[in-house]
Amino acid sequence: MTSIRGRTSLLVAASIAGLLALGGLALFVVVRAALTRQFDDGLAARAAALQSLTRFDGEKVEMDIAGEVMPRYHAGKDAEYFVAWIREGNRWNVLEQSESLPAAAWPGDGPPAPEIVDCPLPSGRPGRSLTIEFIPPAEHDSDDHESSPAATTQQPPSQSITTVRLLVAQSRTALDRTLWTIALSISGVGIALVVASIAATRWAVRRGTRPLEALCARVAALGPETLNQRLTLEHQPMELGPVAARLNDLLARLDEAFKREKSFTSAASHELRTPIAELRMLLEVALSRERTPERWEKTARDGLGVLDRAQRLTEALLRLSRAGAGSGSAPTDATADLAAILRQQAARALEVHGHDPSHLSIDAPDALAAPIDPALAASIIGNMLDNALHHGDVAEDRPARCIARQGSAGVSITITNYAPTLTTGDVAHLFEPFWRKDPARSPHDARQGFGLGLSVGRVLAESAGGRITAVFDADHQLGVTFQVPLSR
Amino acid sequence: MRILIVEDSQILRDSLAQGLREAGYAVDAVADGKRGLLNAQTTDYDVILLDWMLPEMDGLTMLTAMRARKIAAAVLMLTARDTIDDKVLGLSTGADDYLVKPFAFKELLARVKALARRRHGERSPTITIGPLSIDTAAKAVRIGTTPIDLTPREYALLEYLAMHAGKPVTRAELEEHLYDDRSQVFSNAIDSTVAALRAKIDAAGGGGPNSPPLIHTRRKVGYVLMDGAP
Repeated sequence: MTSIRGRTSLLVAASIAGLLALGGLALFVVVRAALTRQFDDGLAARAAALQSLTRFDGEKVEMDIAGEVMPRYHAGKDAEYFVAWIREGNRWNVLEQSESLPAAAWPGDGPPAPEIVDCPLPSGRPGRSLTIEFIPPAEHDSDDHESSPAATTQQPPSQSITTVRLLVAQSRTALDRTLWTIALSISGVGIALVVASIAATRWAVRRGTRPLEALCARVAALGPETLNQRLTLEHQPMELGPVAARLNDLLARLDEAFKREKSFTSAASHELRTPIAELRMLLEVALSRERTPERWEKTARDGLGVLDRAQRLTEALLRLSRAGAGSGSAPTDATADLAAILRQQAARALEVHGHDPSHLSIDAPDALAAPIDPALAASIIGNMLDNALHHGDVAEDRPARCIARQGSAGVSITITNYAPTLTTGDVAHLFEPFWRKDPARSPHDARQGFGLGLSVGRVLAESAGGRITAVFDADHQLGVTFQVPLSR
Repeated sequence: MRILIVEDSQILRDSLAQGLREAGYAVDAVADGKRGLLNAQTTDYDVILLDWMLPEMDGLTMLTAMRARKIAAAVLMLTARDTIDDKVLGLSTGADDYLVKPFAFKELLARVKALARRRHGERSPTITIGPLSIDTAAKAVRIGTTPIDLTPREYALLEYLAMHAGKPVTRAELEEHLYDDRSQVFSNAIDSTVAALRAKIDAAGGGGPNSPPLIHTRRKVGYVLMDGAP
């Protein structure tokens, strides 16, 4: 796994190292050019000095160096060299050469072309030579030529006039040593700067990414047990502030979902344990000694009652689970007549809950089409009716009321019933799975619900693109409304 | 031993009551917390089996009210709430033990016996008084090595006396701990049971001309079980 800190450090350090290398190279090239130019200027000065000593007396050309003291041209370790050739016909003959040269003339066949080149010296050491070509001045105008030797060299040699080619050479060991020293210095300083820049980059990147690392550490430490914690938004850098805020939102939703799931699982577990405990105790006690056939029959009937309740609970949980799994399912083209379904479900619910038809009033048009699967609609409306007739205080003088209407927002069915024991605070819990007004969760009344009806209804309604809401007023009237839009 | 069951599931309540009665306990059973608290206030129960989720008054509130009224009965909570936090809350509120539903009746019985023993200061399941040995776990009684066959009522009386060995126990106290609300208690029921018990102990060699009786009568007080003369 790559790390942002490592990659950033590497990239920055590599960039700095590259820039330093390029800078060092450029510096070396400039310094070398300057030093070489300075070296070449020295050679040119020496050539000019020797040229100024060359005279044409009308008959022959000669260099007047006999009386000069020029120790640099003497033989020795650091000796410099010069050779002067004179052109005689098609041949170049040596006119004069320095004492530093051995008996043989300058290596090669004749004088080199006029230029400055690197060359090996007769001593074997590397050197640099400058060759110039000039027409030696006559005796009478030598002063003019002395004052301007360069001008002489610039005159084009004439075949009829005697031409002299002068080579001066000098060891470049000192120059190379200087350049080498400079190159080493630049490299050393460069390497030191690269090392320092790596350390500085690591420090800077570590310091710069500290908020990111702190955020990562907090996020990494989060788990199901610490979802209630939130990331600190204060002192967050501008780039991480929105990320932390988003993460906090996500954590809040996760925390809520975890709590809801935990609460549901705990409640479901509690509900399922009770019938198991009942059945186990019933059978264990019955088996603990001999019983009469009548006693066994009662035990069997009691056991079946427990099983019936467990079965209804399991089916309710399955309905809830399937409804939840179907949330967001593809829209259906089916259309249901909600008015017909309402009447059908009302008749069923009245019979199941043992109510007289006068305990329920229905105000609905003859037909009320809505874009919803009829079976789904029947389940939702049935759950609402069961809830009203089972938990509500309904009678002939205070019936549950069903009102079905079509409006601009869609089709709605509202079922209102008198709920004397309910409080405003209870409304928020109506759609929670297993919520019951009475906290006793193991009722022996077979008609007692599980607190799942409205939960199932809400999930089913949402899966159909609709919604269920509840309103509770000061007269203890609870109104539950199912609304489905006309188009999904 | 007298037990109170406070459980709103009728099937569970009836099954528990039947099983415990058949195990020799006097059992009262109620369906809600308010009646449970009322019973606990008026009767000296040895053990109370208490559900958590109850109508009228939940088990935890009832337990808190019991302990506030200095009711010392041992309480075994029976509930489907199985998290550690639930158990900690139940025990810290004043429950002596906690059993998660569903449970085996044998385990419940063992816990009830242990709680009853602790309630009366006994830690060992075997109580020995002179030649008399009572195995409260197996509900078996011996004089020396001779086993005595007792009815559940006789055993319950002997066990209660044994748990209060050396101390006089009144007839009213015996009646309260040996009979539940359903029982019809005749005025001489305790005396008759004691007489039958003495006869069986004597027959097994636990009393007689050469040895002092184990169960002594205290006139106008009741009975005391002890080895040797009072």
